[in-house]
Amino acid sequence: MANERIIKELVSPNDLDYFSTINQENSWLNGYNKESYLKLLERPIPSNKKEEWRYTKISEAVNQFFLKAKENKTLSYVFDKNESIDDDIHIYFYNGTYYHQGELPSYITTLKISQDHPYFESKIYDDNKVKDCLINDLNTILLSDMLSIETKNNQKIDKMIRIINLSHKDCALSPRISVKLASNSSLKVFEHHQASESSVLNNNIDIHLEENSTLDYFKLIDKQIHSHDLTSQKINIGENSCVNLFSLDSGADTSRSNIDVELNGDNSAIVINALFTPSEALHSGNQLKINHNAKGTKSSLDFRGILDDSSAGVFFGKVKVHKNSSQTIANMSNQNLLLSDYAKISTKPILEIYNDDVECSHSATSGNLDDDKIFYIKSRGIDEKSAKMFLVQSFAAKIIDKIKHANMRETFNNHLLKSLKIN
Amino acid sequence: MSTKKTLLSIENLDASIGDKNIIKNLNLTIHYGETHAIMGPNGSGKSTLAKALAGHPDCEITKGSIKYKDIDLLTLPVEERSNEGLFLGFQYPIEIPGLSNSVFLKAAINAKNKHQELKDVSATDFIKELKENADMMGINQSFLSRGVNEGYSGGEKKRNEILQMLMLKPTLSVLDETDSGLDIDSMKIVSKGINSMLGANTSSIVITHYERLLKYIKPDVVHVFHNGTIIKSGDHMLARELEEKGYEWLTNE
Repeated sequence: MANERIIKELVSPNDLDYFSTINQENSWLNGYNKESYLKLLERPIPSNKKEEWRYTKISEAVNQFFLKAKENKTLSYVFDKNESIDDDIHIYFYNGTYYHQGELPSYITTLKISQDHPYFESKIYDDNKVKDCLINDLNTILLSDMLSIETKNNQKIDKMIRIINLSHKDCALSPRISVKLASNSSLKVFEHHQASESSVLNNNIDIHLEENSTLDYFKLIDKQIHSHDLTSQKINIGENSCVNLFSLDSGADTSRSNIDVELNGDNSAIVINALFTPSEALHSGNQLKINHNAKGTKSSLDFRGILDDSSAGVFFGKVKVHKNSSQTIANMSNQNLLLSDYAKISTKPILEIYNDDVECSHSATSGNLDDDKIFYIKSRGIDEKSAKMFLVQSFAAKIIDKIKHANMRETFNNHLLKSLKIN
Repeated sequence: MSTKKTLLSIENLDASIGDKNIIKNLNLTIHYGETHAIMGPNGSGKSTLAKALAGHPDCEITKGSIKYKDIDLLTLPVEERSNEGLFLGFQYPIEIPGLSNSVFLKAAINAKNKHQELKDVSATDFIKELKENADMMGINQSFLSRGVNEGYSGGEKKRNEILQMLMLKPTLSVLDETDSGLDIDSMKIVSKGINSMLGANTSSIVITHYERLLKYIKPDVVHVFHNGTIIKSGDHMLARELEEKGYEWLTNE
């Protein structure tokens, strides 16, 4: 451990006090921030000797985070009157604040850090007891407003809730979202990170489902420019409830998504279908930890990487079936398409099983475009570039076609096409 | 000399795959409107000829020339050969999961239209024609939205090749063992598709092991391929003779 660096070493001594005294007017938070800040500073920066961080260099992101945090501006977002508003609910995140037009339905609240102390306090302190995670700590350090979505019992919400992280430049920000579904309710969320430049985003998302509920969560990360996009997503699922997660990540200097799922209720289920499509020298890291803590629980993870240029992708999936979780079904797959000789993928699907009555599978593959398929398509008059495009699309279609929501399927497909450049 | 117009003219062709020289000094002329059957034992180089015509990257032409429609075919990239009306029916059609048959076919037709400076095919015309041809080939409508050859049986794949041929309306179709793996009913359907294509302005090369297919498709010329070249040519009676005697009486000569 002698050579391990701690976070403090990345912060200039002159700035040490700054971060413990931000949000002066929120004395409750200030106290909290100072505590967590000091604690954070002593934490080691995960070195790439640690399995979970082996292929994701985090120190540059942390470094930038502290540098940018001092430059944060206080610009607010101005609505464009001509902005097209469909039937969905639109919420925008800009410079630490959540914005929306008109009245929000009662199940959505944008909590102001300066006003909603008790709520914030309980949230943050509760969270912190269970979490010991770098991304989480960074989020708390620069905590700003929070978005909270909470359904009532039996409440089925058809409207899509769109949460849009607008483009930022030279910012360090900490979006925080809390989604809670009461019994027998359903909800659809679409989270979109627009392309930011020279910024660091530390996202924290908490998801909690009581029994018999369903959450569809769509997440789209546009290609980030000289930026770091880090997410810690914690999901707790109760009896007979299910979370369907779809994501498309086009990469960042560091794009890191930590998803921790606790299948706590009997027959609870998590389904994750994800595409990651980094190009240039970008990175996309996916870390999943799924705990099957109850009977009849299901997890299905299908991650597909399409990697171009000198980009790097990471898949680290750990599915753990605990002793009392009989009749668990767990399937984990990571398939990768390398479009360039310089692209890299590191993949590690792990199953840890402590019960005999289970059905589990894991697999990982990586390869290049199939020359026989390219020839077959070309032999029908289609040029090489289009042939390759067809093959990449057909590879991604195995994920995209699973999206039942027609609008979302189209949105994902359009973003996929935009993110691909085939030579 | 025949007064008929020449479509394809292969002269002194040598072709190799890897280090192995497979086609050896091949000469073959095909006129517009003709159907040529190429028969021969396994490993005689029949499929390599198909690959050479389509421009498969593994197949290297080391000598000779191929003229098609008075163009030097060997200078054309794979896709342009198709757009110029050359169609290869694959012996082993490739599965492309996730790419739907109809999307694939429409792109192929539009590529050809673009090459001929024509407008894109209209959606209604395309669907109408696709349905008619699928019906003729006994292909279920639901197949058309499925992935290309994805999970098809051997017979379904071959019928799908002929469907693609009908849609692309080639001038020269090269059918590489399209009859292999077909039951009698599929054979009839496939032959019907092929026959519907034949006319004064189209030609075809039918590569096959068996005379069976030639009961349904009447070839104008039958060639016997051996050791990378044509060792005997004749009319359809030659095919019958081969069926009775095998190839040995020719290859041992």
